[in-house]
Amino acid sequence: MSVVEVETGEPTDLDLAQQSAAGDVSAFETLYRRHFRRVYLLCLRMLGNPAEAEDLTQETFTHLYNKIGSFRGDSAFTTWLHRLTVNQVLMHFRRRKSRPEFTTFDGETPIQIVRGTENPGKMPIVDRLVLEDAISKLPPGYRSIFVLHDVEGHEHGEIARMLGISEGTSKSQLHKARLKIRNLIREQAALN
Amino acid sequence: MDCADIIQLLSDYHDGALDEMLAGPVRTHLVLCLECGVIFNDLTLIVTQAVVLREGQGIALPDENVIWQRIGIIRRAPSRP
Repeated sequence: MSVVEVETGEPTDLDLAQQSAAGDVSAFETLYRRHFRRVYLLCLRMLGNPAEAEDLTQETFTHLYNKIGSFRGDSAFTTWLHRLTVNQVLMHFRRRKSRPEFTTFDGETPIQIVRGTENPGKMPIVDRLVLEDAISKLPPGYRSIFVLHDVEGHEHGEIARMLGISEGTSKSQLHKARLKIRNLIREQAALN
Repeated sequence: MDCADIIQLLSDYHDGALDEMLAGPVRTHLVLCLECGVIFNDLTLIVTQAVVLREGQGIALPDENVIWQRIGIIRRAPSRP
């Protein structure tokens, strides 16, 4: 239970999960509204598409409702829900046959370093919109790892477990993702 | 190590994941090589900005009431064991 929850007297996530498991729909709705934003943003980052993110948010909470009884409070609810959300997105990738390219590095077009010879000292301004746009253009595998590591703050070990890959693969994909984003931003700037 | 070797190490260098045997040469190279230094600065900028994205400031969220209705828990609730 967090300090805030103690002070405000609001039910904890564990309380709400247990009530939801017992069939209390209003408790589940409270959980939904409490975590909707975070789940949607994670889906959006990983999918790069608002419409798909809405669908996956819906699927995630539907799945959560069916699985809520299995949450025992061994970890923070947010951590548990985060993993559940990531798993839903990964299942979505598999369903649409666009499995992230975790194991197909050899088929990848090598990332060419854009050295910016026209002005090597100047990177275009990287604001939120520019970065969001570049992330959305990444291949799903690169996007997943960049989002999980650089945006969400997971360690490579955690990512490796979540995605079923090695830590080395996670590191390698992250590096390629960062270089790809750099190229995308520079290419976009050159067009403008 | 040449520039291509250094570039492959830049993310690990940025993340502090290199031991000193590798970090030292990368550090020296970045001082001497303008182009690799620019690439490293760009990657640093990207990683720094990525952290800002975490909170999702300025992102338009869909209507949570609509998605709640789509989930349809209320309709399915009576059949829950």
